[in-house]
Amino acid sequence: MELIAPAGSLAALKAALKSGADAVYLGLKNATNARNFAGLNFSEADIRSGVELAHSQGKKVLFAINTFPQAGRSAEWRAAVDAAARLDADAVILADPGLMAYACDRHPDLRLHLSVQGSATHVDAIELMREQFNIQRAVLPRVLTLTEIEKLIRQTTVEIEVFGFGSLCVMAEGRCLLSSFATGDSPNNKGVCSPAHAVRWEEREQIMDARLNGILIDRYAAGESASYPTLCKGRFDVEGDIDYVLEEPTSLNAVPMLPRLVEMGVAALKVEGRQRSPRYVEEVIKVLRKALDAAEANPQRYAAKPEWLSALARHAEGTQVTQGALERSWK
Amino acid sequence: MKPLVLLRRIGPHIPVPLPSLPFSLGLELARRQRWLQPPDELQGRRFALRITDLGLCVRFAYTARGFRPLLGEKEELELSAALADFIALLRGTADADTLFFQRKLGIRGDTELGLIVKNWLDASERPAWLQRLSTQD
Repeated sequence: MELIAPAGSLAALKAALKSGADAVYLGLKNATNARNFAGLNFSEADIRSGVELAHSQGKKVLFAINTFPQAGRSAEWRAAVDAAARLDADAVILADPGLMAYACDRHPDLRLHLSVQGSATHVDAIELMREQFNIQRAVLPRVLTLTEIEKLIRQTTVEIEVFGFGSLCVMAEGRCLLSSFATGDSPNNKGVCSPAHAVRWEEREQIMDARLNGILIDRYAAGESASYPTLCKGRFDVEGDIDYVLEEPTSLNAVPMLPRLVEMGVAALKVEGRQRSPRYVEEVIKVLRKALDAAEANPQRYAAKPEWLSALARHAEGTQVTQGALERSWK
Repeated sequence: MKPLVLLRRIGPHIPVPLPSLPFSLGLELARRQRWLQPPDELQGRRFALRITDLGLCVRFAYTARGFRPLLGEKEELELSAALADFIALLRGTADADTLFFQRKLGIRGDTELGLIVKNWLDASERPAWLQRLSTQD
């Protein structure tokens, strides 16, 4: 199983390769990818260096162009696809069918991965993308159980990639417009859930308020773990109860389930966090490398080591982890 | 008495302009040595760093002529953390989001400016001497 690391900078890419990633995914400094944060991401020159470095080690670079072209601005997204081909990326991670058609037409040798933002949760959606655009891999949204993933793998020849660690969201991936109610921006039109220009933190007497475009979305007590300032992870007053309404801030951790994922034929394990530092990439990838190697070497005797779990929990959003939909019993 | 212990005692009583001058000079020296290469987006912006365990605050601006102490004008961004956490961030041995989740790193003011600073530091290669910097009392 390939281990796929996030990279928001060349330094993070180097940390990922050094720590045992088989591939990194990255994006340009614009709205064509879903981590369009100020000061983050790659210039074309940095991508060229990153691709050369990865290829010299027999590793891969996956180029995320996983937002949806906006009306009248499709040239920007098409240019990103052209750049990926020109810079010798090993694959492009796309969500928009129109962009896949463009990639197929202009760059028939460019390998296509269906992004999690494409929101394909069942075999018909994945097979349609394979038939139409010859996608080679699909990244599954984080809403499926292990049983559902296993069934899906049996029904398609498309490689399946799943998330192994990182911040969770409401998982209406590719369709989420929630933050646009507060800011006018959303992951699909600007590549960000909560644009930094709209975020304000106010702290007094160790109580911290998080505001999005002036709207109070959370209030943290002294010493309480904080989270990303997104509407989905906010706490709101609903009929007198102030609590999380959509979801709690937490990170997915699939490390305890790695033997099962290996056994069912998952092709790749992805780590979320292109917005995080090289240090995060290094520490998380090192743990996952060890865990994955152990799961592949001897799945029967595999047990997630406490030190792996504590290292991952330290970096988790809200400092708590979950196995999310992977282990839920209901459908 | 060890220097850090002494600083913890007197830090809260030191007027802000006093440490801001040597701190800005240090930043400017680092810039001229090319250890620090701030991106253009930081030019003309005003900052404060509050070192919580020492009770110290330094204020500075990055101008067309380099780093200068900030006197009078209000900062646009204030970052607050303990000295050890600031040093870990500078050395690249801590993740800013992790520190933020743990409430060890505070950010006040222009969040976008904070992201630019964070992502610039994350993308920067660290000089070897910085790796050796210790925070022992």
